[in-house]
Amino acid sequence: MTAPGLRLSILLVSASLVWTLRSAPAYAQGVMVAPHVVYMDHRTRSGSLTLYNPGNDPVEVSIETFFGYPVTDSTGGFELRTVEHPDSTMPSAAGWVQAYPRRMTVAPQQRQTVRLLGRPPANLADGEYWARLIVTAKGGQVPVTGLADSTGITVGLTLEVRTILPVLYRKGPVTTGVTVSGLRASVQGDSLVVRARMVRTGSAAFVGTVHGALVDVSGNVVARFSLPQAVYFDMEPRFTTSVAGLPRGQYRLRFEATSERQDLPSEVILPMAPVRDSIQVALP
Amino acid sequence: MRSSRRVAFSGRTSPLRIRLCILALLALMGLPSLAVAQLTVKADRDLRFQVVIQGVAKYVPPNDPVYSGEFEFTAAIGNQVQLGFTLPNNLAGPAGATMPIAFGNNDAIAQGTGPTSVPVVFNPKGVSVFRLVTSNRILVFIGGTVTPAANQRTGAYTAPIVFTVTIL
Repeated sequence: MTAPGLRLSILLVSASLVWTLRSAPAYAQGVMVAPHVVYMDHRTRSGSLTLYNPGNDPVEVSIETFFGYPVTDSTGGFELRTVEHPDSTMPSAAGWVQAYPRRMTVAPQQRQTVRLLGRPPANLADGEYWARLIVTAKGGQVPVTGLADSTGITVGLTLEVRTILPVLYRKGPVTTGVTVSGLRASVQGDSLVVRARMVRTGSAAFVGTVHGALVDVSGNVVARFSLPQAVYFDMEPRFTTSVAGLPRGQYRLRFEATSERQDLPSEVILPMAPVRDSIQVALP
Repeated sequence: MRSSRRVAFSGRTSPLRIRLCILALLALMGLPSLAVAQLTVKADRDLRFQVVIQGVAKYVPPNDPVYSGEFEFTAAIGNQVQLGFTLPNNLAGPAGATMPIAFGNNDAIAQGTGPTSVPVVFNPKGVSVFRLVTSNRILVFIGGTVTPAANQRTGAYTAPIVFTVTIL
């Protein structure tokens, strides 16, 4: 492509992004954060975050970091495990990834770029390091309103919002993979509940997609699920799919973990051979 | 077929330029684009009890269309998010006066905006995890109960509620 052509295309993309952001309806206080996952590379040691205030009032925004990663509980439900003081065995970037500026006021319908800068220790080993960004947005003080009466007591609570998103900092060559074991399924009501133990391999978090397909004896897929999944260490997630109306009998559940992600740019996805498992499932 | 496409796009109009232009047009049309994968969290409406009477508790349910607190978040379909609140126990009033506020186990509702979305009642005192399946825009409502004392000092009482959305 010629340079003028490239410039024109980039201009069009930029203009369309601004148009997309500006065409959002006017909201109350809050911010739009993009991207929803920040990847940083040791070569540039930097990243960026775009904040947009879609509302009609200024929003005060502050940014902090901490260390945390998703885990599952005994029922397969997800939660964020936070570690206040991660030790040296934890791949934490929370202590040395900093946001500039850390406090700002975003004017109505305006954007603000936040630069993320990595200042890792000099002897940082190759690998992937994680942090979580807390983006706190607070509007101006909302007056407590109410009809005047003899009591003269009025009550109102102001609302603030926080967005917590992952930051992944990569140094050197990194790889990822996942192992799947203990695949099992049970029928609960009109749903098939699928559990599997997933353990990350390699030096980076597995960020991919889990696919499940229930296949009847004729080879037809009669139920399926396809869900984004991240495994930072290990977890035993719970997936469900509807089996309402399916005739009783024997089926085969095919389970697959792949590195594809629809919501992330392909250049940050670490390739990995798909991991598959399957089991027999009896529907009562 | 493949080679003929290459031929068709060769010369003055390169495939890269075509792709970038298509991307720009898609974005102009408001279609989702990987380049702007984003998360929006905002507060749409404060939780308001308006006027309260000394000695009389007042409850605002989460499904109150006017006075309940309302938040909203937007994320990509398939994303798994953890929702949590930081809730006050007391409201701050004039000259150091306080007023108790409580939140029940059913005082929060999450409602997707898809055609098949159903409201989910949850406990605002804990964290709840949702996966966005049919709707990428979720409304979250919160209610609560204030209990003014019989001799509650008059004036305005307030406190913040913090709503946290975590991408898992």
